[in-house]
Amino acid sequence: MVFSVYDIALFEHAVLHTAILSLAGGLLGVAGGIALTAMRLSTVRWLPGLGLVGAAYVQIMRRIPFIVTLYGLFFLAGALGADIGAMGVAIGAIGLIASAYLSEIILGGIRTVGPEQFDSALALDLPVWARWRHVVLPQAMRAILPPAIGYLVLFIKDTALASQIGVVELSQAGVILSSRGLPATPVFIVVLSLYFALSYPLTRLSRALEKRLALS
Amino acid sequence: MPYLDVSNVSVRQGRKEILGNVGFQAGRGEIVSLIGPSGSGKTTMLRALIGLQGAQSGTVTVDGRWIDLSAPNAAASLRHKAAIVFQNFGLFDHMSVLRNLTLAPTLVHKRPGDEAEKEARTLLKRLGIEDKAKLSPRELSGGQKQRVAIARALMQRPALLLLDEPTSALDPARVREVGHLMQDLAAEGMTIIQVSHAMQAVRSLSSRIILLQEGRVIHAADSADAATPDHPIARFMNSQDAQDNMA
Amino acid sequence: MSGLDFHPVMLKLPFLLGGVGTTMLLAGISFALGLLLAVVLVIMRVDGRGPVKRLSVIYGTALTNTPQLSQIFALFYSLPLFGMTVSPFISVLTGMALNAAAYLAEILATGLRTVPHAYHDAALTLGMNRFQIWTRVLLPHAGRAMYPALSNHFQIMILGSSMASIFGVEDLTGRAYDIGTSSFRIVEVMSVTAGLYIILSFVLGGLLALLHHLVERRV
Repeated sequence: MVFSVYDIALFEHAVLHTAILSLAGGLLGVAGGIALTAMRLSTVRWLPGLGLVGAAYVQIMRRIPFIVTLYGLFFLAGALGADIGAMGVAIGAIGLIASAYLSEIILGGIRTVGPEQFDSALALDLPVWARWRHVVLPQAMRAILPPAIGYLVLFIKDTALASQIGVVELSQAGVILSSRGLPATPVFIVVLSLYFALSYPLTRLSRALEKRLALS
Repeated sequence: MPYLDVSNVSVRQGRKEILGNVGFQAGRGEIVSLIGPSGSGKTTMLRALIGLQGAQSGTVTVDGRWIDLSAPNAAASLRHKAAIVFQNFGLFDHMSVLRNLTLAPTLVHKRPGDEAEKEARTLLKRLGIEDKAKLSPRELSGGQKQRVAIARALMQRPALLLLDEPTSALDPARVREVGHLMQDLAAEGMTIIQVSHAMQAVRSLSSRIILLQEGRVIHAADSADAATPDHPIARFMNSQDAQDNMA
Repeated sequence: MSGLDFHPVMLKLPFLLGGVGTTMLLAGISFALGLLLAVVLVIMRVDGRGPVKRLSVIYGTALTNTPQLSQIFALFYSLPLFGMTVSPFISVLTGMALNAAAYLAEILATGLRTVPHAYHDAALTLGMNRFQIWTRVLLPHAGRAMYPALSNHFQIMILGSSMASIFGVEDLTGRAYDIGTSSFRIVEVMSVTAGLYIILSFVLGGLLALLHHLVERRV
């Protein structure tokens, strides 16, 4: 056996970190994405700039490399004295970027709901929350869920960059073990296989949902 | 005091006047048809009556209730009194026919669930589609979907029923059916306003015909008067017939 | 460490801007190479029999479900074992090209699905052979149909090229990191760098759209 008990422990530790980063970052991204979408759709009269701020945020965040955001945030947190650790920064950074992408996905999904649906909901005098919860969102979900899950796969790949600010995640585990002298090829086959095991089921799920949710 | 009195409705978009000083009246249980060339504003008028289109001015008095269309709460007041059936029905695909009918009554009017369901089933039965209650609208034909849409509107217990091009999506047999339905409802006291370009149906169903052009009422008449050969409304309708036949 | 000080960053601005060239080179060459490999992969997928087709599908699935960074690490640490000593730049370039090939093959495959059967049949009846049908009918059509997706992926690769900095390559991010660590003004330099990437993204977007417009007009 090429790997010792300690090596396996390192892998376990690393996979756990990768999973936590993906999930926590993903959840933050969903929350942020919803908030951003609400901002972009807002017609609140006393906060006219909200829509613009939201749109600008999305445009900007999607054009910056993740690693630049990560470095910037890490050292900003350090400068401000925020004690959230490398994991915290990584999750925050993933959340910030994911929000932008997910907002686009959510808005795209909402746009697939025809104006007549909105009209019907209004004509029935349904209050705002009911319009969204019972009419718009259930239908928008068809176009939101598959790409959103597909995007989760992207988070998992982004977590690899967290290694650069000190998080011991899966990619870093591979680097550590290779540097220790273990043969690189088997090490990275394991690393890539583990990533695959995490990502591929989600890819399949996304495709399956797309087929199932598609309108005839 | 007529049952329905619409007066001085004007709608502007920017500098463009879509409706100017539009008004008409109707008695209880009458069928009023709004006709006119495309762009005349008839659909806008219908939408204004359900609050989907804001108006700069106008008042609607229906069943004793007076509503100022330019007031901020006009939409809510209108939706208490009127219900609309859209040209493409606007049914919610992702829920059953029954739920389409009970959604608003239970959520907005706070009617108890089983009561609403009973009422919905009765309506569906009356319209001959009771067996479709648990199906999704996607599984229904055009005529069936329209009946669901009408049932959904009737669940609102409106004083005023608005129909946008009720015959355009149907084949001839269904057109006759929905015509009969409209007459039945009118006989029971429902006041119906329809926008239509199907002159045949307009002639046979309406008690009053309102001709719009470029956002203004050009002519309004009882159907008997409008049928006399030289009446401007009759002439318009004949020209529409000719156009439709050429198409 | 109170207050922001952009001065040290501004002094080194020319050095920073030089990184843009490396970034463009990296993304551009790997995109081109990746596209070539993608064409091979998609032909294998569509025209290939059993094992050939399966190989292409496995390649695509494997590389799109694992991180590019890990793939480059794998190359970086494995290549020396096979006796190949390559510069970091070449390692990253190769990794990016191999990764891009997987995604671009997927995009081209989608594009191929938009080619009407009639085109293929017409080409056959005109006596065209396999190679000609691919190069004159199928690929041009797919490429044109998927131009937005292809150029979008190029933009993604510009952003993805930033991981070259991890291997010591002096691309935009690499130089930013250098300036940052030597001046201790990392937040400032990263902000400026972010701004440069944003500008680059808009400029490229405009150029790509222009290119699309020009090509479409000539048809």
